[in-house]
Amino acid sequence: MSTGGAIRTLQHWFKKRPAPEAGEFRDRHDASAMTIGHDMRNDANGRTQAEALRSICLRVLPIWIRHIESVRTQSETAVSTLIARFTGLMDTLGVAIASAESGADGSREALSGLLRTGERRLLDLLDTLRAANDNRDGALAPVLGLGARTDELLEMARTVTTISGQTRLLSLNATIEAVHAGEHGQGFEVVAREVRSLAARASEAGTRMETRMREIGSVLDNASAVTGECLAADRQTLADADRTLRGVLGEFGEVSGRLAESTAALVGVSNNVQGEIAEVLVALQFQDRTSQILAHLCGAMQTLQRLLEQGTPDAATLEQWFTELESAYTTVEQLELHRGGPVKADSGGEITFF
Amino acid sequence: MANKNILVIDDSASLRQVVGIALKSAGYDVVEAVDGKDALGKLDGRKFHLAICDVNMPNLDGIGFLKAMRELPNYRFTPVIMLTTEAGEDKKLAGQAAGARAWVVKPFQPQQMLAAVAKLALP
Repeated sequence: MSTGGAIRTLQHWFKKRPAPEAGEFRDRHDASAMTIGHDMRNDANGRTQAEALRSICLRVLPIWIRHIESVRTQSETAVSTLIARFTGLMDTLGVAIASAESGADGSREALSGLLRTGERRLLDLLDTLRAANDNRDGALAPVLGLGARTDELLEMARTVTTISGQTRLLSLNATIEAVHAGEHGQGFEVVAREVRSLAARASEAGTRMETRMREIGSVLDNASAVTGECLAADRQTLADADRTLRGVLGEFGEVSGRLAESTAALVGVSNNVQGEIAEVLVALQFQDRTSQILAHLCGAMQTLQRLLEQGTPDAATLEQWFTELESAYTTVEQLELHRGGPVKADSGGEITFF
Repeated sequence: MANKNILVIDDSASLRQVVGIALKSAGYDVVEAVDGKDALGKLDGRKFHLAICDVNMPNLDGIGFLKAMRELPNYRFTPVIMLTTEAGEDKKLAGQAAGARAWVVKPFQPQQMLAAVAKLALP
């Protein structure tokens, strides 16, 4: 049976009759009460009911006082341990938050710096590649222009062939005229024949030049086409690289942002937990109130015990003890409990400056 | 610059812890005493910028400690905040008469107590 239960049992008996029967007490109480029951049997041998009651109280009060003190000590120890644990948690959280905040700031700055540096270097690299491409385009432009020049040369070769043909025709006419001139035209005929021979050779040279220029033009056209395709492919590759690079950098930036957000969220939650723990520590102040109430209860019981040890107290002495009991209360709820009114715990927190 | 020194007197270890945590988190140095008699022993000449004292304690209660403290020249003007479950006017008036500067009823919010400490602590 608990101390509270034992008190309520006594209260019940005292309301019903002046003193309990020994057997009834023994049946309903624990082993320690059997000794009290023995006193009650003595009562049957002639002791007064008041003496029996005094005897019960003298037996039971020290036990109850020890129980209450034990409860007080245990709860004080437990609450102190809880406070120490919660304080440890708060300190640990404080360190974690500080570390997360400084680490997050440092990591965020480092990552941001790394991204900026990487972006700058990679874009520089792209610019270099782009410039190299442009330089190559510039260098290849005259080569690609050779196609047009070969056309000019081809036209010139055709002109040579045409002129040589006309010269041959003219030399032929000159030969005919020299023949008509007879003896006087013999020298001129020799010259005309030589001119025709030169024209024939010039015509052959023109034809060969045309053939060669067509071959060169074909080669240059092929080279130009291949080079153009290569340049277009390079430009496309460069554009793809630029797009991919910016995409990767953007993804890194997003991941970095999400990381910063998640760290901030973690710090926020940790701060909330720390705040909750601080509230718990405030709430644990109830221990002080209960400890004071229990201490006061023990003190009152000890006073009653001392009174009873001096003999059976008269009504006036008991009344005085009761009055002192009431006047020694320190909390509002003690007074309310004493008077049997509704208990409204003092919420505290009131500050008065003098 | 050195932290301010606060003397915390309470027979409840848990209350001393709660008060100590709040004060230390605000940058104060804390010296603890378990009752008025113990606290008087701590008044050894060192400077206390403020004392926070429970009222109901064994050996020497808060009012008794306050009166004894005011007899010591070094601590005559040390501000004292009484931190107590006592809500009765009589005790509060007794505290005021003994020289307390503030009366805080438990349970208290640490921010309130820290505000009172910041307001009353010696420079």
